Amino acid sequence: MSQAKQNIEKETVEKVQSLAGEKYKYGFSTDIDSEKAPKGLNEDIIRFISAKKEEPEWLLEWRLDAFERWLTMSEPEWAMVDYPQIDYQDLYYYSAPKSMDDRPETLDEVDPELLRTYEKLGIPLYEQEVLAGVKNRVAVDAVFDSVSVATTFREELATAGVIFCSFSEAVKEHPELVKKYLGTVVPKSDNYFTALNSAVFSDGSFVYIPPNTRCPMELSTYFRINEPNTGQFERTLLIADKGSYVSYLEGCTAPMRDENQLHAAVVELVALEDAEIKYSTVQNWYPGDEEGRGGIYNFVTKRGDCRENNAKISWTQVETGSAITWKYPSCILRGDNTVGEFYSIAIGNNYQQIDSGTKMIHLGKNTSSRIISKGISAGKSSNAYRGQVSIHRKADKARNFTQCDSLLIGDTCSAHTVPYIETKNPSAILEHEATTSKISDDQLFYCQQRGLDAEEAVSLIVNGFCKDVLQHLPMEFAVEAQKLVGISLEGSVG
Amino acid sequence: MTSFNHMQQEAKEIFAANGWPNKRNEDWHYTDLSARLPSSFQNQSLELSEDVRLDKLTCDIEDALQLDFINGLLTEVEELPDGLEISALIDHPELVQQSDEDVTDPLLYANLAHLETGIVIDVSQVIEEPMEIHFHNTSSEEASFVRIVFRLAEGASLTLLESHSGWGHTQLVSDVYQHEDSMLRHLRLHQAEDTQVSLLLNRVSLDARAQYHNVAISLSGGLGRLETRVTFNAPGSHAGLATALLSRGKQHIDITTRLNHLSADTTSDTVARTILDDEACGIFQGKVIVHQDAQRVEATQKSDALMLSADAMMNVKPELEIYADDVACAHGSAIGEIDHEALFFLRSRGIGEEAARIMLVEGFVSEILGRLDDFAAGAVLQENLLKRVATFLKKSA
Repeated sequence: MSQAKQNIEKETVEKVQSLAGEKYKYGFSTDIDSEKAPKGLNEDIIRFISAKKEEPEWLLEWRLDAFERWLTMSEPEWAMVDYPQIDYQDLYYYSAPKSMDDRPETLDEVDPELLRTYEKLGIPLYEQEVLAGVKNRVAVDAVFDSVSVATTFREELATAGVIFCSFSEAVKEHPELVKKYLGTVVPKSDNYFTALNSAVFSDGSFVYIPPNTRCPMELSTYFRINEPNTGQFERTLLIADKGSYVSYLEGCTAPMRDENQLHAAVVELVALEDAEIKYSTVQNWYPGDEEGRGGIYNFVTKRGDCRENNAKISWTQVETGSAITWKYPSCILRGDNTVGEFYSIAIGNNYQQIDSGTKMIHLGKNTSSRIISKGISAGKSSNAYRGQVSIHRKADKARNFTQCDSLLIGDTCSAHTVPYIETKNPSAILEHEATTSKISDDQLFYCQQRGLDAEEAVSLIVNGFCKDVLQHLPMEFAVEAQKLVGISLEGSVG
Repeated sequence: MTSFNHMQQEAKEIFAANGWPNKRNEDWHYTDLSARLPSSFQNQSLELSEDVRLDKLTCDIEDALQLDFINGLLTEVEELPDGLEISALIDHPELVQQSDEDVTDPLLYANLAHLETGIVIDVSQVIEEPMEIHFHNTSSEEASFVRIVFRLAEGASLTLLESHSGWGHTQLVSDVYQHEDSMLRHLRLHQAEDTQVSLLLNRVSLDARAQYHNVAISLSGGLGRLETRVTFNAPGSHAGLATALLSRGKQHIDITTRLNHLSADTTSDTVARTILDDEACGIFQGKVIVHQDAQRVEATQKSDALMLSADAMMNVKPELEIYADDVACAHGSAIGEIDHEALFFLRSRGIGEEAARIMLVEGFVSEILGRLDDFAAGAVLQENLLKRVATFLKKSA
């Protein structure tokens, strides 16, 4: 091994160690009084949440039914993640900033403390208003803890017929849509965490794109977990009606905390005939410190249903945060000629544990799916790709291509690949490739003999490794995502 | 030392309590035995009928050593050459003593609980003559439970030709301990009647520079699980596993491999080719584990499947579990039907459709048979197997 390379490896280890904690620039918490439900989970808490949100009876019944099912279920243990037993009775299930009671009409009326939080986060919410006339602007539905407090560009979207609001508002204003689609993609009792979410979900986003409409801007939600010991249970429901198109961005940062915070979100996407949904996520929640203390537990169920012919759903995710990531954005390709895509970068450092992947369920004819997953492990992290491609009997001429690559940085991390490939139709063509390696000496040498120093060479190679996925992010997100990959990666590879 | 009988008693209790594995056991996700197998087996007949005709895999070498297991019982053993010894497993309880992990291993406790014949084969030098081992059940009432332990001394080598035929239920556990620089070439032919259940488990432990080459061909049988687990204990050890699985009717054949790289500088190479017709179900589960200290491991795994019928089903689960960073591990998997362009090409050259199909399928499995080149009497074996493959395909067509 060359001297230069040894140096890199030494630097790598040092950088990785120095990276934790201090580089987490989003680590802080804001002191805002919040109104909480008492700790614990029982029917009364669910009634409290439902009453607080002035929900109709049918939704309360729906929640209670989910809770009943949840009681009979047990926490899944198959994922390659290891964490102490969660005491579900020791958590708060509802918390809302106090100033919510009189909802602010404009940003000026928003709690200044909150605005400062966003400022620290770098969310250009204030700026957004100023820039309202600019093309390609981003509408932000900001979720602070559990309740949406500011929604911008609502009117602009309304002219296009697009409904983009908080979930609780949708329940009040568009109950017929919510009732029609809620739980149709991810059933209440799909798994332990969806049942929990269905029982206690606090808020989230609701999007409806009317037929033959191209959403005039990228929709974006910034989530933020703020209260200690508050489980945040968002519920996102996105419906793209016939012939419509929407690109939805979801990004997350969270304050630094010592206690683990539970997060169990559910995202449901419905794409009707000829509709297309592009759903992008940058997830950068607090991953815990270098000793593995603290950090978010992220148990998310995301699923899209290409319900009618020619629909397309594309998931892109950059996962750099959370102590534990348990997340499998999936596509049900029900209509004929439907397309599902999954592009993922998952980066683990220190004691982070990631078990993520996707499911592509081919039910219709001529359906196709594509999976590109890039896993990077550094420090003492563990990174697993877990995916399923299933071709059903009637899915003639289905097509799947899967590529999952893992890059290992340092000898104390691990990378795993657990794909399930199942086919019942001979006309389907399935390809799967997976590799696990470290940065090859040949590539390093090649770059270095072209005049790059070792550090530049490593960073170039790693950036190249992720490129397939990064290029699928929308412009608005690419900068943030690249910054995140940069922070996580450049630090850890030299 | 725990006595053999005591261990067997224990295994019986575990089997009585746990039974056969079901879907909930992740290793048996695609092959649910509890739904398919009886919980108890009749006493096996101890008398062998005279007129058993065996469809053995033979290399046509006169000196080949022969071991026949009929209904789980070993028939007469001929005189053994120097360097080869056979003894009873009951005298070696230490070889049966199972590690903690194995206590929950259904194939092991089921085997031990019902064990009829257990032998230890010691190989102390290079044995030129191949050893032919044949397993046959004479009726569907019969069940065979056999365990064979192979111990290869430093520098020893052996070619093993194993074949299975007949009806009923066969459960075989082969434990292979290979010392430094030893070499085992192992050909396994699984060709039984459509109702047969075969659960075949190979456990291989490799010391420095030891090499294990396995070629497995499965042509028929009702329910089958061909499982190979290899542990790489020291640098330089290598395992090559090649499997061709041809299946039709309502067969359910499961190929499972588990390669456990404990040591640095070890290599493995797994290839599986599956051809499925009618309502057959094929399964390939391959797992490569590279432990933290096992640097510079190279492991590749490839699984391809050809679906010939609309009712066939294929499930693939190629896993990588990597804890070391300086490794090159990869797996690939492809599933599809016969390439219409290739078929058209052959037909445009005047070859009939059926012949063209057979040609393409033969080409598909030829890579596996090609692995026999290094075997003693490799050419004879290839020819023999190719005939069997052709017969299979003609029946299919």
